[in-house]
Amino acid sequence: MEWQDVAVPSPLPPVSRRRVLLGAAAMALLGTAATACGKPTPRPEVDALVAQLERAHSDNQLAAAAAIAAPPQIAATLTTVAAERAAHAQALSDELTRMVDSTAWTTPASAVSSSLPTTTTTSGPPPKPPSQMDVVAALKQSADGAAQSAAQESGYRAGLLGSISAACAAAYVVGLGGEQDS
Amino acid sequence: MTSPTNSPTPTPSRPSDAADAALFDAVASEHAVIYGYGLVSAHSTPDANDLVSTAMAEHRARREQAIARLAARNVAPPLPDPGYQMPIVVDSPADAAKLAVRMEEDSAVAWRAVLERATTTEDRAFAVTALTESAVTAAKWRAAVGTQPTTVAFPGGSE
Repeated sequence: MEWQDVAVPSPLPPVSRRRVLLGAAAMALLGTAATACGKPTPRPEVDALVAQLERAHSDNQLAAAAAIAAPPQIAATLTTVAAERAAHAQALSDELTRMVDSTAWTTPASAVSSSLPTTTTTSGPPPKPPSQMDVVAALKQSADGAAQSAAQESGYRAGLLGSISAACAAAYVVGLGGEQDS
Repeated sequence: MTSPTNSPTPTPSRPSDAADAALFDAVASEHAVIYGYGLVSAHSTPDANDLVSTAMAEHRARREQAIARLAARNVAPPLPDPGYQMPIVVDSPADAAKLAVRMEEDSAVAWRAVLERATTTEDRAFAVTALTESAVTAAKWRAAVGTQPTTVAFPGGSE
């Protein structure tokens, strides 16, 4: 089969306004969690979800960037990976929002985030686009991290993190042909 | 998914504790999946042999481990039913692969339920592994069927 060396357009902008908003919501949540009671209140469940949210964003961008340079068939899979990681980011951010709403504090995350600048800075394109194997390595790390968090959390959060871990594993093992350990 | 055709004797009753009940349900689901894989095996072409045998071994091992977990809590596990009604008619290798996808998806749902109701880190880790294995195997079967994409964003979930 002959691959055409054509750039595949990424379905997602490199850094969207949404990313900034999500990041702001997460930061607001962290900040408020620490100050609401007048003393630092450790909220490991928030930290865990924020960490997974950050990984979902970075995998999304990595896969989208790798898709641009990949041959069409692989590009389609990488685009799927990017979309799945974007869906994970959305679900994690929804859950973080629920956690914010359920805590007794007055500033909604939306108010905080809207006060932040919405301009985004994108660093220039990397000198070399990420490879399929870079994405495999990132997904492997994400799958492991989400699995560990799932075991530490409970209820819906555990379930969500477990599904995210399973999705990352299926994506790198079957979608991208990586080696599955364990 | 697969439902029992008849149950002449009541199997041990479903425990009232939520965590135990989810694990009990997952074992019942594994019984059905293992039965279903017999049908999948009968209708698959030789090139699916490895996938069939690996999947079946995984489900068998998982069922035994789950039963052991129930036993450790003095919960009687569900017994396999004498027969199961399959959700689709299986009459070809393509049907067999579709049934396998369906069973792995149902299995993922059952293990996510265990994960959400579990009360110990160990049980959750066990459930995550089971959920992941089902997600990976489902993706392999989708690839075998030719379904694209082969993966889903939330295996076992409804997000």
